Order: sequence, then structure tokens, then C-alpha cells
Amino acid sequence: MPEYSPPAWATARAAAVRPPVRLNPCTTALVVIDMQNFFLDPAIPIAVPCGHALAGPVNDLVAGLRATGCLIAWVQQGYGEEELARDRNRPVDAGTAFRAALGIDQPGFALSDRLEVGADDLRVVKRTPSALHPRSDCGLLGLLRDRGIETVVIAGIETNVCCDTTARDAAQHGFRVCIASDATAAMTDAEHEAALLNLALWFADVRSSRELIEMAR
Amino acid sequence: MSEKLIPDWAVARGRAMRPPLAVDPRRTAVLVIDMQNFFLHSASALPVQNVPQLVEAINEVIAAYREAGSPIVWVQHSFAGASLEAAEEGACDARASLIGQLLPGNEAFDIDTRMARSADDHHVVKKTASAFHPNSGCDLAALLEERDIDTLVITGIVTNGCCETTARDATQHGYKVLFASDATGAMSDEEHRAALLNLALWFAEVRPAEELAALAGQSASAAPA
Repeated sequence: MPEYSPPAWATARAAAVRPPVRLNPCTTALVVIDMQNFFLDPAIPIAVPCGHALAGPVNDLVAGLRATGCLIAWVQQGYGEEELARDRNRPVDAGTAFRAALGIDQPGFALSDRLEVGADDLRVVKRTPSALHPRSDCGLLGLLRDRGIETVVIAGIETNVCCDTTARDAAQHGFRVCIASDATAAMTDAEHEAALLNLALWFADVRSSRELIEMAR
Repeated sequence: MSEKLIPDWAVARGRAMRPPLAVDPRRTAVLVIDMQNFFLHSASALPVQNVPQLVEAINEVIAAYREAGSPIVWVQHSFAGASLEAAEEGACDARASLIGQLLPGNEAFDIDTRMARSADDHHVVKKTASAFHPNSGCDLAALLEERDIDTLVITGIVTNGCCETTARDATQHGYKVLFASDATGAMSDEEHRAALLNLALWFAEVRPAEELAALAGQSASAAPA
């Protein structure tokens, strides 16, 4: 995705509704969303390869924030029997195909092997776009609270779907939220930039990975 | 606005992800979000644009669905219990204004008198952007469940804040979501269009008020008596 920063009018208005986020590594978690084969590997049938170029930038952000002491959490989207059984009673469309390819026994479900996942990192599987939704069934909210996390940095895919929805939920749960403009991706530039604009205005500070790592030092 | 609010490619891609739209007004509720005096006056710290057209479009949707028997739910935002933190004092003047004014009992909190309300309508007060969030302080989901609602028509303000967040949440709770493109309003065209784009792609059927109103009428006449 091309580099994006929200326009000056948007950052000025955002500053009037919330103070800028500061990163204290002891209370900050990087939540990496849905970096799964389905989104990263063009060899998977019906894959959405919008994330194929994202493994490098995400690994760089993970390594940079890990070095400062931030917690790292990896989230995967996974559909189980309940959702897939419901879909079997429906005509096939792009939505049912999407969910079938993200079934928890499918190759698309696995985290890409290009990622540098640490042994102590958190791992959760969610069922809704937001990793903090009551119906996500992934327990991330409790895991973050148990570790005293107050600030969440969002990276991964897709910017305007699971990243955006998780960022909104995090803000409503009282976390301070940043989103990494260059470690997120969507299917088109238009939707990526639309999400970053609206998050900047109301819910999250939009920062580059370099800025985020600098802020945590 | 002569230019299309949402590009054709986005409408087509979004529709391919969802079953085709069908509206049963008996299982549909209209949410009217945050049409409070605070946002609707030009002197506001956070003024919404095109207010007269917005009021008219929402009233058109309400009239059609009320006629078809759908419940109308008025949602108001309250900052009761919120306070400015040290880091916000001085800098966050819009937030200070929200916290100081959006409180039950204040005129700023009240729903604008131009809105077409009825004694049979429902009211909830929320404290978060989404009216479904666990921290919202309201039980919108229970109110809808009691009435066997499975479809929501989302109207109100602001498009990219409380309306979009409520729509995303509603989809995650399993509701079918219709989102009004001109019966929602924001503080600028750019953010309004950005919200409509992402909702149409992933979360909601986005239609103008006129089409939403027509859907209520068509479905009502098609439904068995």
C-alpha cells in the first residue's frame, strides 16, 4: 500500500477529541491481526493475497516493539462447524467461500510461516471481525487485562475490516489505541485509506512502524 | 452531490459477499442515533453538515417503517460519569465540550424537536460509540430480541463514528444491516464517504432514504395479512 498519513485537518480535529497516545512498553500490546495463509499466500485457492507483501513490515514492527518489551499477540480468524453448517444451507456466494477457506482445518487458516512468532507470544483464534467482541470467543480482552495492558497497537489485515473493528472495540473498552499505517493492508488503497482516516478522527492514532518503535523506546 | 457516494466496484464486491436483500418490516427496527441538539447546531464544537436535508431524510425513513409496523428506537449519547484526564485538559476542547454538555437534563442532550417522534417509540441511552457495546450501559440487544428483530435500518449521526461502529457491531451480532447513505450525517463529506465505502464492502447494504422507505412499503404490501 502507498504510504498514508491522515490529512492535517483530521489530525487537528482528532487532537481536540483525545490526547496523543504515548507508548509505555510495560503496558503496551501489539495485536497482529489475521496474518494467515489465506491473506498472504497466492497459492491458496480463492486466497485474497492483499497481505502478500506484509510479512516483512509486520516482522519489522514485531521485532522493534518486542525489543522494547511490548507484549505481542497474534490473532487468527477461524470458522468452526457452527458457521460452516449454517453456510451449507445457503447458496454459495463470495461470503460462504470466504468462510469455508478460513475453516480451522483449512490450509488458509494457518499463520504464514514467514512470520517471526515468539514462544512467549499470545495466540488467539477469533470468530468475529473484532478480536474484542463478546462473540469473538477468543478471550483476548481478559488476557490483555490480566497483563495490565492499557495501550494497544494494531497491525495486520484487513485494515478496514478486522483491524478497524478491533481498534474501535479496543477504544470503547478504554484502551489507548494506535494503528500502524505501513503494517496494515486491505484489498484496495481506497478502503485502506478510508479506514485510517476514520480511525484517526475518532478512535486511534495512525502512525508508521518507525514512529511506533521510536515512541516505545 | 452529483458524484456517486459509493463507487460501483465497491457496491458489487460488497453484494457478492452477502445473501440478497429482503426486508420484512415486522422483523425490522429503525435505529436513530444521536440526533441530539449538541451536534445539530453550527455553534457546536462538533457540528454535523447538511442538517435540514438530514432531518428530512431520517423522517422519511421513520414514516415509512412506522407505517409498516417496524419499531423505531431513538438512541442518545451520554457522557455522564466521564471526566477529562490530566493529559486532556487544555488541549481537548471538543471532548471537554462533549463531557460538559452531553448529559441528561441539558438541552444539548435532548433530541432535536424537528425529529418525528411518536409516543410508541423506544429510547435507549448509550455511553459508547456502539449501542451494542458491553460498556454502552444500555441493553439494545434485549429490546430487539424481545421483538424478534433480525434486520436494522441505521440512521443518524455521526456516520463514521457511532453509526458505523453500531453497524459493525450489529453485523457481528448476526443482524442484517441496512445503512442510510443520506439519512446519516458527518462533519465532512470525506469521512462520510469513507464510512459508506467500508460499510458497503463488508458490513451493510447502503441505500438512500428514498429506497429504504420504498423497501418498507413494498415488503409490507407483499406480506400476508
